[in-house]
Amino acid sequence: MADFQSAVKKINANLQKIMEELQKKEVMDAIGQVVSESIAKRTRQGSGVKEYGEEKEKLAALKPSYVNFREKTIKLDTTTTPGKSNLTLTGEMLSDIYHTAEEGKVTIGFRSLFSNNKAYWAHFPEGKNAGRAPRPFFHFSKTEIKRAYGMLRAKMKAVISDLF
Amino acid sequence: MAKAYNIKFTAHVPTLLTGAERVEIGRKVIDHILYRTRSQSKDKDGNSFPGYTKGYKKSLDFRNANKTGKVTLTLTGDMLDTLDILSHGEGYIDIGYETGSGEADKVEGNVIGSYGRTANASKARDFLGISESALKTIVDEVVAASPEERAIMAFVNSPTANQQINAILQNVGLEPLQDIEEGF
Repeated sequence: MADFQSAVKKINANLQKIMEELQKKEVMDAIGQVVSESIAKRTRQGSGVKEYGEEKEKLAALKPSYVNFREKTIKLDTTTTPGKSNLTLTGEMLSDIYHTAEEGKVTIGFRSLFSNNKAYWAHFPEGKNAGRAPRPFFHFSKTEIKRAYGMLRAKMKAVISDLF
Repeated sequence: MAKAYNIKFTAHVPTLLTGAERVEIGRKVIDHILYRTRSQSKDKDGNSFPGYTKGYKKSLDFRNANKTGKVTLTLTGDMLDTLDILSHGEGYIDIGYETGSGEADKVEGNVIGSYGRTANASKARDFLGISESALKTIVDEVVAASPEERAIMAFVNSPTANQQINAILQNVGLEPLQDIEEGF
């Protein structure tokens, strides 16, 4: 059994290796999976995030006229109701959130440009959408960042444990 | 509405522990609470949580979260995943929710059984705490750690580890949103 100081030395000598292990594609992929699902799930529950790292907040309520339109005109997805403000009509935009991972990098995006564009309108209502309340949601909330941090910390612990 | 005070509990620990040991104990206490709540559906005293109401089980939020009847206090997972070490010092570790946390109302509703109404102990699901015996098991485990385990503990709780993890998180990004309205 090594003493504390030599164990610390061993960890320091392996810092580069530890960082490489943490950035492997499968680790980044697992983070991407959890974070992308978190964004979709949180939005479906009716919460958005204004800026990177902020607390989630309830999305702006729907206008009564739009609730009426949703009630009478549209076949809504099963994950919403006419009065529920959760950026869901057909459900396509949130279902389109996905991630791509490579070594050291994860990007969360949308499977289609159309869904990306719908998200843009939710964030920045302008042009024909002017007058709608902004409903920003495509950011990482404080909790989502904490969740990813926790995954990396647990992996770091496992990688270092394997050194001994 | 966010609370202007912390919702927390204090884990009383031996005074001779190092800061790294207290952080390790705090994290293990949080892991214990998450496991007990999500897997065992039990409160801090080991009692089973009261079941979900029929109305809640029929709600859209319940359905969207793909929940079963099992009480796990998990809808988005944010309430439990926000639980954190607030502070620690000689003989104590405070665990709970920061002042202003958006989860505070939900936590309080569960802890006192109010859920936006009057407090009702029979409906409470008080997950915020740990039994003395479970805490003792965790403390004993951390105190008995081998030199290697202590070195790991010290490293993963160090500013260096924090910096390295944050550096990796910088590369977890979002694709830019695009205005292509004119293209349609």
